[in-house]
Amino acid sequence: MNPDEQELSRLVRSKDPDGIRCFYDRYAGYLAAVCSRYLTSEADVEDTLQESFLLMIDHMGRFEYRGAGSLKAWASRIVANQSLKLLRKNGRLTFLEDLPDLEEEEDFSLPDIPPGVIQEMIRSLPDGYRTVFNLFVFEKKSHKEIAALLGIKADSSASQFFRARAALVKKIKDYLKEQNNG
Amino acid sequence: MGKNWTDRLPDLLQDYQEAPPEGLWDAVSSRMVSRKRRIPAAVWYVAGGLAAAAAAVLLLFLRPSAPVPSVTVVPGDLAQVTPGPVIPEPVPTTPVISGPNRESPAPKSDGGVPENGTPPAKTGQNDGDVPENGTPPSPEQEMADQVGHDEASVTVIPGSEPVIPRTERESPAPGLRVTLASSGMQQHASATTQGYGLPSGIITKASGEQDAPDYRMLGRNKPSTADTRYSRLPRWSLGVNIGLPFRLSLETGLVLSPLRTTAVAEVGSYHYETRTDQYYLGIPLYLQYSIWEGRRLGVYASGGPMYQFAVATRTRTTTTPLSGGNTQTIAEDKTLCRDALWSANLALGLQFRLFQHSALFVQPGVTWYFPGPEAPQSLYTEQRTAFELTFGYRVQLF
Repeated sequence: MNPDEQELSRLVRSKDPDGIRCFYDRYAGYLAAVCSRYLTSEADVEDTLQESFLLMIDHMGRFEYRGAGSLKAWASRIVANQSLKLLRKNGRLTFLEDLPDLEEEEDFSLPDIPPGVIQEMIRSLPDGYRTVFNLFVFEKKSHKEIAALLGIKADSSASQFFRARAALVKKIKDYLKEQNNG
Repeated sequence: MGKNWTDRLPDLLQDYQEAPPEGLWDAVSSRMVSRKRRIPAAVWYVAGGLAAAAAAVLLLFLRPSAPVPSVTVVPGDLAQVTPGPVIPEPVPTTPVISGPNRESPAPKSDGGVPENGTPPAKTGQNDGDVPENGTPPSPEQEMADQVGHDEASVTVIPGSEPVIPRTERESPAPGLRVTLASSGMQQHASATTQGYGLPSGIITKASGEQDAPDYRMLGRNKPSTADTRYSRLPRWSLGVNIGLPFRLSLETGLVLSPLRTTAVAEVGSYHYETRTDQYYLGIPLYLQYSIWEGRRLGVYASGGPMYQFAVATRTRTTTTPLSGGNTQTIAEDKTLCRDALWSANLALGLQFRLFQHSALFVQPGVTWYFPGPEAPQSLYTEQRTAFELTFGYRVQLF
């Protein structure tokens, strides 16, 4: 069974068991990666993915196919929202402000690094940095939207994003140094 | 590239995957398959609500017409009218208005024969008058007598011109009423799920708690059975009812609805119980129509939307070792779980006027809930149509 996204959404909407299994098999790995970018606890990832899949299956009627990749993007948004909900509920969204500013080089460019390594670097960021970074970079939200979502000021969102980016640059450089020495 | 190197990250990770947690598919599929609802109860609630709505619609269309007051004019002499909101018009003859609280003008001792020879109309029996000539009251007068004291009626003598227009009671009379009500009916839905690990409905760590033991890890990948029960506790409302013309009135106010979700699970060596109380404040806007109003009793229909939003949340989890031991509270949380939703209500009410300006009422009806896509699981998401029984007390201010 290898339906396209539009057909797959139709099958899930009609609660076809094979369609639902196909939907799970196709996106579980990707959505697990999305979720673990937000949540560092394995138990939280498991719970959030469980809730997210049930939500997606129950509310597939609300999905409107808009071209290739739209179903994946829709599912990804649901997982991100559920992850955010859990972070808010568990009070894990702390925004570190009392740290010295990290200087970022103007001409830094992203080297070729395995995606898994980048993923782990993002996961290792503090909760607040990581959340703002994910929302800005992967969900393409503005700082104003992020501020409304997280209950912070837009300036704080921008500050958190800047710090997250600078921290990532440092991690990338440290990684490259290790690779060169190794 | 500079500061925009982060723009490359979505492309870099767009195909990146990780192994899903072990047992995830089993957990998802078992929750889909094992979901049970109290379908028989829901069917009854829906049927009851539809029956109430159908009765309201039928009564609206099949209600008997209001008793038509008639006008009595005795040309050239007297017309006897019981009090009511009468709009007089210029008449060739001069009517005299009398009623239960007014002294009826004494009939002329000379018999008062009007110019055209028609005998004077009789007064209602409520003033104790006995027709001078002993003639029993005319059918029109009898009809007028049967009309309540607070109804306006004027009896027409056939052949005479009705000069005072018919009065129609438009009830409820325009005014302002305050309502205190309670909906005592508890609806509930339940679900039983089977899976692995601690179900997500069970909270084990309050927000902000970082060092508490992780009961989730203790129960990970262990088979579990969870029973979740959703209910609504008695709802209280305080409303203002504004009377309008044409038997209509508008009611608004505040409604406090507490919802309770109880999740019970046994995982590994522990029995868990989480109780979540979510309080919603609602602002209704109901239109009421008075179908029939008698001296004491009245029947009305009511319907309209209500907007509700969560104002408080309280969650508490207790755990008991299955091997025996004390129950202990492992998590308490008051973080507000934000939620807002619309609902629509249709009801039929029966009102009993206790005193002149106040009444008791009972109002069965049906409510449809429209929760948002990310609403927390509660009665509103698990049983979106509910039959309700509301009873209360209305006081008319003016």
